[in-house]
Amino acid sequence: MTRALRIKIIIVLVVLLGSLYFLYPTFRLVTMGREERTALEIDDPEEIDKLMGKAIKLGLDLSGGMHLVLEVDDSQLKDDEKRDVLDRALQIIRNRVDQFGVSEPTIQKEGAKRILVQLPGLQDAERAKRLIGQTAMLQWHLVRQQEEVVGILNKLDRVLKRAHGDSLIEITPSVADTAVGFVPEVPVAEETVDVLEETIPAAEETIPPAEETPPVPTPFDSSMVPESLLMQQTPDVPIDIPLQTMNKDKPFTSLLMSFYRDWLIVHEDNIPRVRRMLADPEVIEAIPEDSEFMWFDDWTPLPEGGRGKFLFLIAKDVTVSGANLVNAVPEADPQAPNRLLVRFRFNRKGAREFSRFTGENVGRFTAIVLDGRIRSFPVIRSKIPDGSGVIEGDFPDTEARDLAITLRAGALPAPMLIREERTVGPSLGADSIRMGIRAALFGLIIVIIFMIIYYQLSGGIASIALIFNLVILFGLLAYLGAALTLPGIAGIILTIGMAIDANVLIFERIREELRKAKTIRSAIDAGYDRAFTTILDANLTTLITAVVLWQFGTGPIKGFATTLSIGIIASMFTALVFSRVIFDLWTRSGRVKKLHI
Amino acid sequence: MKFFGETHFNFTGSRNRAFVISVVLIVAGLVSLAIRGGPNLSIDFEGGTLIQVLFDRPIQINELRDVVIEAGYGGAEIQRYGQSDQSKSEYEYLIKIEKISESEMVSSRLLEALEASAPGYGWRIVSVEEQPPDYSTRFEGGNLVIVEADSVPAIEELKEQIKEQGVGIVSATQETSTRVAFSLPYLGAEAKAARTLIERLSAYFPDHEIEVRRTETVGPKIGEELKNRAWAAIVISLFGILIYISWRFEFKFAVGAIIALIHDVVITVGIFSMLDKEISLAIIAALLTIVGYSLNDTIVVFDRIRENFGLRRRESYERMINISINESLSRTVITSLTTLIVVLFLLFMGGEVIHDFAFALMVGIIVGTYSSIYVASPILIEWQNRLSSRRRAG
Repeated sequence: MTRALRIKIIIVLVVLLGSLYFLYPTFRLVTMGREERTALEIDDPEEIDKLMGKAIKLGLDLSGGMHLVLEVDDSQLKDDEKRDVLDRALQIIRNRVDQFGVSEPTIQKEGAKRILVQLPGLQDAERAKRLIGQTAMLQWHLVRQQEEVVGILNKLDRVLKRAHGDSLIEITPSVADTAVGFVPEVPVAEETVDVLEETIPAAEETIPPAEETPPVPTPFDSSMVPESLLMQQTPDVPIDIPLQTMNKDKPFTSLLMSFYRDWLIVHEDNIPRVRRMLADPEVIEAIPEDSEFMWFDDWTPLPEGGRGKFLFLIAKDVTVSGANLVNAVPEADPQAPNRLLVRFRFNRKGAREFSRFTGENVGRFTAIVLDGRIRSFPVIRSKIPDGSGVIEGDFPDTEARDLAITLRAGALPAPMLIREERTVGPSLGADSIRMGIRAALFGLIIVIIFMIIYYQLSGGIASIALIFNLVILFGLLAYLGAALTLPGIAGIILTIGMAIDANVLIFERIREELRKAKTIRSAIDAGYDRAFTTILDANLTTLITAVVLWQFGTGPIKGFATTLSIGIIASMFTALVFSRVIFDLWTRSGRVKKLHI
Repeated sequence: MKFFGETHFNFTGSRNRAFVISVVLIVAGLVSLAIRGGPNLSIDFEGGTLIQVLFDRPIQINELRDVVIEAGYGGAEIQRYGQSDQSKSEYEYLIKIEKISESEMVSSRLLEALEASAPGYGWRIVSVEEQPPDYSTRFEGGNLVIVEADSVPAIEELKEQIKEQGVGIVSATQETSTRVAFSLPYLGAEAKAARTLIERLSAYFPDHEIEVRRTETVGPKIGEELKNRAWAAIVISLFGILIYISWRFEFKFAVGAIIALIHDVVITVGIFSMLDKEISLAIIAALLTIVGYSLNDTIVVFDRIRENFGLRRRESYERMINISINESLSRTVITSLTTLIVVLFLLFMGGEVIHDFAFALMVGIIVGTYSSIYVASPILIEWQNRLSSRRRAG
């Protein structure tokens, strides 16, 4: 045996054994019965994790799950904040997903502004979106006191009257008969003071928020809508509609109901009007820079009937923020055990700030603002030194748990927008695997039968090379930790077809050389030599397109490019090295009189 | 066993006939593309929503269409899924919604409700103003719709009537004697299409078990970017091939190969257009694979030409190329055949998801094999002929 042949045999054996070694965990998992697996999960969960970690991973389209592309909205950030915003967002999303408990998630940057999140096996898409996409910016703002607010309200009346006096439309308070106009009341003496944990109960009763009323299916006939009407929409043009009020002298305050402690109440019907007034440039100008109006999240039933919302004037400064939170857990509301609230705890720095804040503002109301919406507005009864408190809200079970997770993980540095969302149910993935494997097996068998009929014994060698090729391919997939996707299976099937090509090229060459009446050994040598450049050129150009695909593709396409690239490399190895070794061993003795090709 | 011994087909002699076939195929595809206004791009590139649902019992496609239209997605495309298994074809459906417009949906719903509750007023939509939703805060957004009419009926009654029509109205305020401003909750027509449809389906088919097999929502911006990336991928890989072949062979070989590849891709896209099949991301991958495969074939022939160029100096260029094609014919046919076999298995057994992908590969393998014989090599001959006639003239 020549030295070169010996080295080739060693290389072939190393590749074969290496591939089998990397394939073992996959093989073990696939062949494990359900009972054995359950048993192992109980006895040795670490072993299962280890096997799963080393086995070939399935892409989302095969395992089922969710694929999200989020884009960071950094339009509100300053330039120096924009720099590492994506890295911070990535870290926080990773924290949240980790705590959510999804096995083997993929969370990675994609380009300069996007984050790709893949959650295998996850089915509750809405919940995951909320958990991942929620900014979870928690802030405490001081609520401005009544005396201050009254002054500003009067100013707003004056400003609106001056700016829009002529165009204001006076309406009769038809619905909101209850809206009696603004009557400054004497502040209600605070009877019992609330502790921070016992916030003012805010309309937790009966009325579901309007947004959640599911639209009832109605018969719809698009032909009823004349086309010409639809064409008239001009959503881009700002509409100039006069502001409405109930009293031209008090344009703003006449829309408000009453003052209750430090906040205002606005009847449902007047909310759009008030919103529009608050959006008026003159009004924005008139509100002091250190304050802003903010609505309370939930509806409140009104004693006069109907419902309304609380409107607060709050200090713009964030007095304490959620950045220093160390823990947040959902727990039952002591006053209403079927409701949940979220208890939080600050670290030492946060606790110090919180203690100072509460100490300085005893008796004042504070607004707990989560993502720009007031979630609760407790009054500070006394200084809170231990840095702990609660957030109320009408949380369903999962939402309280998820809010706690997002608070623990920290706030996103900027809002994230969902740009792409794909979910695959587990049954579809299972179907795809079954069909893909079946197609691959049948394809493989037919090709092998064809090769053996056409090239006889040599065809058999090519078939062994083909199977070896697949072993290398799967072994490398497992080693690289690359996910197998449905297009990936297609890539493997294509590889089966194309891997044969290298052998065909060689065999055809050998046949040609044999026709020239060369000896078997020299025909084999010449065949391999001549075919070599062809195989190299043909495969390298295919590899170029596969690499470009890998570079530009996302998800499934990448999977296809991966298996195709690996398949091309493996097929070159098996054709040029492996099958050559077999031929050399076979014809080494020189006793072979006829080459079955 | 042997399909071919030594063959002496006159491939290069029949290149004019092949040229006609190629031109006819390309022109037919281009005409189809022109008629349809470009390729039929999937939601991967156009943006939109796709939902695949499986019912436990058969339903009528008309019922499904009704639900989808009621939900406001009149332009949706509904297909039976899994045609390969006829017995199950009334169980599984694919619903595709492209380019949803929130403002159109809101105004059509409101108009319909207005016409139903107060007919004869001549309702017209003046404007729709959107407040976009913010996923980060559960703020679902809203729509301010200004409506005009010849005269306006009692606004409070109207509001109640509209609510009875099932349109969730937050408020209605009379702006002028002929104008009313309605504030409607944000429908989230774009972002929530999948969820809305699934909710509607379970409400409409309460006795069926409905399994959501797949949902895909792609924002228009991402789609646009994917389109650019797909183009970039095709252009870059062609460029890479051009450089590689110029380096390994000659520039004219590279040009011949590239023209053959463009020929293959254009014909495949044309056939997709004629059959009204969608071009999705997976199809782009298939097209690039076709590029790789067809190139494989072309290179094998070119390699033979390069080899014979050294050996058969005395033959004419055209004859030498014809000999080269004949010599590699056996290999070309066998490789194409084996690849075609597996692709056919993929096509018929691989399942619906992979069906169009396999179809593109099948077309590509046939066209690619043809083009390496009848397009790439003849270009070399034409190139050489022009060159020598110019030399003679000069």
